Amino acid sequence: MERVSADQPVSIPLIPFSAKDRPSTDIINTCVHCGLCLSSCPTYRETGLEMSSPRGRIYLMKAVDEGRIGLESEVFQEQMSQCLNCRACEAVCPSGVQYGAILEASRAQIEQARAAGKIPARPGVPSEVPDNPALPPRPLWQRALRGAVFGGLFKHMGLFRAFTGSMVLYQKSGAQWIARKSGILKLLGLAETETMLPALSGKMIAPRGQIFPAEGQRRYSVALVTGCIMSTAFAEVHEATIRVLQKNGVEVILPPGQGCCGALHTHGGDLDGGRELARINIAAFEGLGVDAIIINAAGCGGTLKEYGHLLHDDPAWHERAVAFSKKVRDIHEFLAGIELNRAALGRLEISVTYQEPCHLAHAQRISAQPRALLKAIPGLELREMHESALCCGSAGIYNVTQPEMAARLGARKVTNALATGAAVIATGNPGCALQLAGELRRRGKDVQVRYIVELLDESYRRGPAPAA
Amino acid sequence: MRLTDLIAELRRALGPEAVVVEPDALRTYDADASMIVAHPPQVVALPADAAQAARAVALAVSAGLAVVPRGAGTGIAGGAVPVRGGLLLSTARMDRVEAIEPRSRRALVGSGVVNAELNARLAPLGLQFAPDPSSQRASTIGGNLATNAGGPHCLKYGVTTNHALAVELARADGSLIWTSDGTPDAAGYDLTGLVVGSEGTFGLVTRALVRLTPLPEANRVALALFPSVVAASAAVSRVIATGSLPTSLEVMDHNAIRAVNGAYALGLPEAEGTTLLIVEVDGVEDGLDEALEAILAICRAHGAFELRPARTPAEQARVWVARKSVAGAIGRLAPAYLLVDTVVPRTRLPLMMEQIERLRHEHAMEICNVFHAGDGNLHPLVLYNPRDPDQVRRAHAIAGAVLELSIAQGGVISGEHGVGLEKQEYLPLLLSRAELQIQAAVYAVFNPGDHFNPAKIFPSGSGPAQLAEERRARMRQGRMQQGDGPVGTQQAASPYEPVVAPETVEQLAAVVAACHRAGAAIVPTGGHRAPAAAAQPAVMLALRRLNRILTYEPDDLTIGVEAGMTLAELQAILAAHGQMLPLEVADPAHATLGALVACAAEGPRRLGYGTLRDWTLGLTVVEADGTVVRLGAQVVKNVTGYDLVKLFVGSHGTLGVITAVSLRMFPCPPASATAVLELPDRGAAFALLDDLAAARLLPTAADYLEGGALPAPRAAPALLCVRAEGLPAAVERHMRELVGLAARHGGAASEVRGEEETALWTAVVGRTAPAEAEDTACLKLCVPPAELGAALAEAQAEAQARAVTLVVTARGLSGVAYLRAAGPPVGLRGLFTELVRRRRHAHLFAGAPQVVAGLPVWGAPPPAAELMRALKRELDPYGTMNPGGGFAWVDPVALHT
Repeated sequence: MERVSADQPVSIPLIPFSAKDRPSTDIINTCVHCGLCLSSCPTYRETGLEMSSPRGRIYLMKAVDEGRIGLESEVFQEQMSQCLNCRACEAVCPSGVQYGAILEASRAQIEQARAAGKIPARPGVPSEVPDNPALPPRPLWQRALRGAVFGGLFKHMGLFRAFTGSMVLYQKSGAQWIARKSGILKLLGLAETETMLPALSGKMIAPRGQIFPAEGQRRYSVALVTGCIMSTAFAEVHEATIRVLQKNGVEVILPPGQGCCGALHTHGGDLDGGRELARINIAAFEGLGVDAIIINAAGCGGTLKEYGHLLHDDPAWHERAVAFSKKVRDIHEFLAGIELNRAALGRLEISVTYQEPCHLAHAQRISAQPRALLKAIPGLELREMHESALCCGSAGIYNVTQPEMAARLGARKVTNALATGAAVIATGNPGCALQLAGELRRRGKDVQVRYIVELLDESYRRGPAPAA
Repeated sequence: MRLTDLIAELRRALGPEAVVVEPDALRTYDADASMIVAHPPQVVALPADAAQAARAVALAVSAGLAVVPRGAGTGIAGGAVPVRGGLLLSTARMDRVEAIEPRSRRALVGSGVVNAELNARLAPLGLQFAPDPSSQRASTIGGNLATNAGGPHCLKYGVTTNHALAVELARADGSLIWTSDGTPDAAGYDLTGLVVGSEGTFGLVTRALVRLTPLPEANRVALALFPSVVAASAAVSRVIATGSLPTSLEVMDHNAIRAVNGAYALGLPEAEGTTLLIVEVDGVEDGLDEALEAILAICRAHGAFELRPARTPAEQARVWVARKSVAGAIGRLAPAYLLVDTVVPRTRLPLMMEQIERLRHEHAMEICNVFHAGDGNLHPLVLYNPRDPDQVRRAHAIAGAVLELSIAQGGVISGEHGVGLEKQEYLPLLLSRAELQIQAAVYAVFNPGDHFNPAKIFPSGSGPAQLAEERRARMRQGRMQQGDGPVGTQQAASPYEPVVAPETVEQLAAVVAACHRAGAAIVPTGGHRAPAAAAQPAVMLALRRLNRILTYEPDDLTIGVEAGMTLAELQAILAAHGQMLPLEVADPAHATLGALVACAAEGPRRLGYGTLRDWTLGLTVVEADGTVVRLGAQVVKNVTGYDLVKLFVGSHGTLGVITAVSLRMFPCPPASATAVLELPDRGAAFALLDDLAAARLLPTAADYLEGGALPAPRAAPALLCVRAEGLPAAVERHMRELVGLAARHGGAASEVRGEEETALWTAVVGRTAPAEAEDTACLKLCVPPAELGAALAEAQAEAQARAVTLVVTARGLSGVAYLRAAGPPVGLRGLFTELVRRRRHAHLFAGAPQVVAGLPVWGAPPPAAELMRALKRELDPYGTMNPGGGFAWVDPVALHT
């Protein structure tokens, strides 16, 4: 048998990382290649491919950092895109590699190179699934997302809210991100009786400095981050959050002038866009004298807590950012940390399984608290699902950029959730909620997706059973 | 085949998504967790199952590409680095748990199954796969098998090889072969034991049948803080010496503490010198506190300044995750580390730690010590910056010095991570040329074309092909001087002329060499009893005069003795130190350790302690040409090269003469009792055994007796003798529950202890002694444990139909039964033939010639008989070692074929 001869290497120019938002060499070199992250990584678990693992991706970053490959590498671009940024790897990394930071910087590098025309806007990578007619052509989406949406709507909450009712907006931003295949129009319309999602209320919550007083004696004063999608599509979750806080003796303020947290921007590599939004929010929440800044969406919480890092190169804002981030508390973290008003909780005879939002479980390491809250509800039966902390595939705009992997992970998650037989899937993040609802809808399953605060709210509203 | 054709073929066979060819993607496969050498493969394939894997192997081999297996790439010796390029075969998608058989305590798994995920599946069933390497949340069963991985809990439960029943190998021709069907005590060479620890060089492991262990009912974890790593090591050495059997004794020095303290919220002091000892004990709830307290008292006496229990499961989990994360957390301390993975006798731990401290200062380098102290398995991690050539040099100087010191203390080069690329140049420090040659001889059988994971393990100047050829030449030379023809052609008056009983190994080796030159066969024997049969004229080599103690440091719980020492002699020596070998055989006064090891003897207490396969750490063997080699070492963990000890355990003297044996010892338990359960019938007895297997009890023996003279005065139709050993409270708990179990199954229980208990077990094993009366045949029947009851029912029915009566003595939970059958020879022959037909694993080990003649006494041939024949041919090319004494399908001149 003839021996294989290695193909001749082709000499190509390598495009290195540029100085601005360069992934930290120190962070990259903190990885000792132990591989303990592998089994926590959704894309590795789906594919078994080393380059689709955190270790493999860091290795690719290292290769670019050391000049062995360049930004034009399609494998590099594809892997930076295929990563969900769920940060499950970061939570299990013994060496504490700040994976999210170097991933986001790597994405920023790719975006910079694209903007500068050094690499094509549309890499011919394998994840481009040509046989998916439901998916609009990528270039349109690139433009829609990066230009109109990121640059425009998310940065102007008034505009965002004004357009919320419009299907156009939803299709261009939230809708596709939300649940491409789920028939979002029907969900939004709510004219039909389908109630698989928490009611996507038309109410909307615009923060105008409202103050919701504590019920009974005031124990704490907090400010609520209303965000973008949460203040519109999930306004009822905000209402529930406010009511639950009030029940617990907490006064809730909705500071005006706040906006989108910028999570989608930073995760996608638009670090400057994220920074702009961060500054808006820092300014809006400064000087309120509150005990905590409350956020009820996991993805936003992760970003808000990292404003310090995001603005670490900005001397004018860095300290203010750190002070802001220090005050941020996820709603579950906050409620589990105070003495919960258990006496007022009413019975909810339901079985619930908990899907952990990545940016709660991994980015914020909040895992026990949501479960503790669920267990506090009398009558509620918590059924743990397999791989509860494995990403559901929603991951911000991932549904758009990596539709195939998103669908695979969504299916995997829902299969695990359904295996528990629970009637409700509880979660704490809009992306997860919509991803799950979409997949459930596709399967025609009559299982509800609810926020934990909604379940708490329902329990409080039901009230304690009268003494026998 | 061109590479492009190979890629096309692979894509066709495995699917396009299972083949990786982009150069940038291939780069991510150029290193494992060692990061010592980087070399990308030419192509990566990710088969979904064994059939696809075998196809990929065949394609690569036909294209002239090497095949490098990779699990999760968490190895730290470079074992998965494709140094010569080739096809990297990732098992990541071969991750199906195909079957879990709780009652037989085994599971069939793909080699890509992640260790922690298998354990997550098993936990709800009250079972575990015991090996728990620190990498377990990512590492695969295939990788664990390749390195014979250990882990913190291996102190009590043993390493991977103790939990591997059989493996499926994809071979160079694209065939798949199982090393065994996994039935306990299956006759034949222990190929499974050979493949475990072979680092992917013997073929691609595609699936494995692994042993499962009951999860303990309870455990206790405590953290003890010492002022120095030497003090902690001294405490560990003492704990082992006093005979405690903790689950884990793990040491972390101040650098290891610093690496994980913050991240896992341990809240430990980090001052220079501060050393943490993690202690875990497990078992039944009763007596556990007492067990832990005894260990903590020793810690206090050795200077522990703080003891803190980890009470909640969450706390315990945090401690263990932190411990298992140390190597991965080194990134917090330094950009790279060199891990030395040596094992020393446990009493040498303090000395070794002093020396490591000295080296640290001498070379002005930081060392992080984190190790399996209870096993004597040191892991100094030398921290260095790979970009500083001087630091690299100093790191390697320290590693080399530690290994040399360790070897001088009886240590080995690798305990659990393998040799791979990182340690291959150190191999000659431990192994002689002849020892390297015999390693290569086995390699030559499994991997003759260098197809699998080439350029690993063996030192670079001495490849396995060269070494194997050297050995063949050596064998030839010894013979060709005489120009003899094949063995067995000479005539002699008696099959046993002459009998030689050498006094030293040197004399014995000279005799073997002389026989080799003369073309005479050799029948090794303990010398107390004639071998059952002889195939041809041979020199009978009696080992009875080789009966000295070689090395016995009681505090190490190991002993080295010459092979002619009898079991009774050994037990007497050990008893003086409160130690024992937990093995009862029919004739301990005459059974020599060499013979017992050669026959892979087992006894009732295998349930609690294992068998000689598990306890034999090292052997001295005289090869067919008189060359003396030492296999293994007298330490409790060792993956320095292939585990040839496993090959010789149960080889029946057919590969070489065992002249010395190193064994793991056990402390005599503080308490022991046996419940004798009289039951109305076999059905009740096996129903009780089912309950016992499902209960969280840990009996050390559970023998089932039926027929014959039962230990007086009992005369029940079915008897179970269930033994419990350990702390008094634990033993009492077992006795209480066994009384309850007996009552539930319509039986009665009584209890024996002390001399009465010893007498009972002597009587039990006496029932399994070979007998050669004309109307008797002695059989050993082996089945998966869950099938034992049914197999015995079947045997009784077949026996009755032939007017044969059976005396049954069975290891009730282990799947092994001894049947003494009495009846007309034709009935006995018919019964045996039927048992072989139905169950394959029936061994006719004693019987009158008219019963035995012409029968397949070893049962049906195993699936891998061809590999066994090849091993025999390679190791004993002239067939002079115990002709006729071995397995019929291996040895062409065997008597009973």
